[in-house]
Amino acid sequence: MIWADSVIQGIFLGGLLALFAAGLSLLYGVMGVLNLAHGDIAVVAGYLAVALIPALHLPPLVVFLIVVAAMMVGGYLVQRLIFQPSLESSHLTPLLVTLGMSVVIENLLLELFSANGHSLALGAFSVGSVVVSSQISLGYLSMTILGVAVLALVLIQLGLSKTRMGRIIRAVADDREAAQLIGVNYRHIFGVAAAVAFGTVALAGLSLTMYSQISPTAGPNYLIYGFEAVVIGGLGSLWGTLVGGIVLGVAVTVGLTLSPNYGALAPHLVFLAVLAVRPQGFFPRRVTA
Amino acid sequence: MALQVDALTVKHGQLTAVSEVSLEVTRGTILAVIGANGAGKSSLLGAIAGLLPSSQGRILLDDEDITRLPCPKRVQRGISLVPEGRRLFSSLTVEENILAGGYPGRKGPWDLPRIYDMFPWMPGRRRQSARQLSGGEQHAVAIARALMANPQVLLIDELSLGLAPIVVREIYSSLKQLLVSGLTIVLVEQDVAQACSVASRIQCLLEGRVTLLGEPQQFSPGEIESAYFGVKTATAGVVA
Repeated sequence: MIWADSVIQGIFLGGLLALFAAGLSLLYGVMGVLNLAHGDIAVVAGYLAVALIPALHLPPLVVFLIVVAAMMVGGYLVQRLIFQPSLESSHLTPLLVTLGMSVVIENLLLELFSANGHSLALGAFSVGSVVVSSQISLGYLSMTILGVAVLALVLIQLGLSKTRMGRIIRAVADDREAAQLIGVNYRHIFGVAAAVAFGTVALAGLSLTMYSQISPTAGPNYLIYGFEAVVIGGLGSLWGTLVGGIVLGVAVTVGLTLSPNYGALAPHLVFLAVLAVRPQGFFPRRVTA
Repeated sequence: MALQVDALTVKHGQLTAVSEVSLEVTRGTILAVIGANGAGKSSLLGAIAGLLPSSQGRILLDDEDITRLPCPKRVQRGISLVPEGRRLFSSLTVEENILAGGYPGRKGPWDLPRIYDMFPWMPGRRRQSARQLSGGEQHAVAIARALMANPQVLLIDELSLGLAPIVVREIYSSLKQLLVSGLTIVLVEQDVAQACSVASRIQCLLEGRVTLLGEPQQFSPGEIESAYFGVKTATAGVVA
C-alpha cells in the first residue's frame, strides 16, 4: 500500500511540476524562447503573496487572484520591453537575457526578504486530507493543486483551439511573418502568450509556497524540473507537460520511498532514461490545439 | 486610382532588387507583373504589402500615403498579399486558416459562407490540416484567407508556380469572379500567357526595372519576349 500512496502523491506533485512546465512550453512553442528565469518568476509570485496577504488584509484567494493578474500584466510588459528586443537581436541573446533576469531577481529577493525560507500556511486546508486507508491519504492542498493544473491546461487548450486569439497565437507560432499578412502584430501576440505563461507560473509559485517553502534561490531547482517535464512531454506540447510533470512527480515520491537520498536523484535518472529511449518526448509538437 | 506606386526602390542589403518602379492600378482591374526569376517581382509585392522596407519612393492606396505603415496596418487599410509558397499555417485546419484571415475592423462582402460558395470543395475538408492539401488547394485556401480581410487590393505572388495546368486554369477562373466583387488585383506571374489572359494591363520587370508597360494586346509575343529576357533592343511600347 505504501507504494500506491507514493504513486498517488507523485501524481499530485506532478500537477505542481506541470504548472511550472506549462509556461515554459508555451513560451518555447510560440516564441522559441527558453526562459531561464522561469523558476525565479514563480518564486516572485510566491513572495508577492507572502508580502500582500498581511499588507492588504484580504482573503488569500483574493490575493492569489491579484498576484496572478499582476504577474500576467508583468509578463506582457517583460515580453515587450525585455524579451522582444533580445529576440530581434540574435538566437542566443534571449537565453542570455533570461539568465541575467534570473540573477537579478534572485539578488533582489535576497535583499528584500533575506535568505530565509517562507511559506503560506492556510490552516486546516494546508494539512487536512481525505484518509482512504491507514497508508493512503489524499491531501486537500495536493488535490487542489492538481485540479488547478488540469483546469489551467484545459483553459489554455480551449483558448488556443476555440478562440480567435488562440488561432492567432498558433498562427504566429507557425509563421510570424505570414501572420503579419493577416493583419497581426506578432509582438503583441508574443506579449499575450507571455502573459499566459507568467500567469501559469504564478499559479505554480503560489502552489509551491503553500505546498512547501520558497527561498530567493529556489527558482533554478524548479526550472530544471520544468525543463525536464517539457522535454519528457515533448517540446511545445501543452498536455505533454502534464504527463512529464506526473512522470517526474512519481519518480520523486517513489524515490523518496526507496530512500530519502533518492528523492532528488530519481527524477533526473528517469529524465535521462526517457531521453535515451524517446529523445523527442512523448508528444512532440509545436503549440497544441 | 486604387493603388499607385511612385519610383519605388527596394534593396536587400547592397543589392537593389527594385529600382524606381512606378505602377498604377485602376479599381476593379488586374495588373499582371511579369518577369523572369530574380526580376524583382516578389520584392515589389513584398514592399507594397509592407513586408520589405522601401528605401525610396511612395505607395499610395486611394491617394493615402501608406509607405511608412507596417504590414498589419496596411491589411487594416485594405491590402492583402497571397505570398509565394502560400505559407499557410500548418498547425491550423483549413477553416481555421481561413478564419484567421478575418480582420475584425474591416467589413465587406467576404465571409465564410461566401468563401465556401466560391470554393465548394472547402466545406467538406474544413477540418483537415492545411498541410494535407495539394498545392492547388493550398493556393485556394491562401486566396480565401486573404479575401477574409475584405481587401481593396489583393496582391498575388506566383499564382501558377508548381501547380498542374488544370489547377492553374481553375484558379484563374476564380480570379475573374473576384473582379466582379470590385476587387483590384496585382498579380505576379511567370506564366505570361495566363497573365495576359486575365490582366487588363501588364508590366514587365527585368533586373528590378520596368521594361514594358501597357495593355496585353498592345504587344507582340516578340516584344514581350524582348522585355522579359532583355535580349533585343526596345521597340515601340516597350520602356527603354
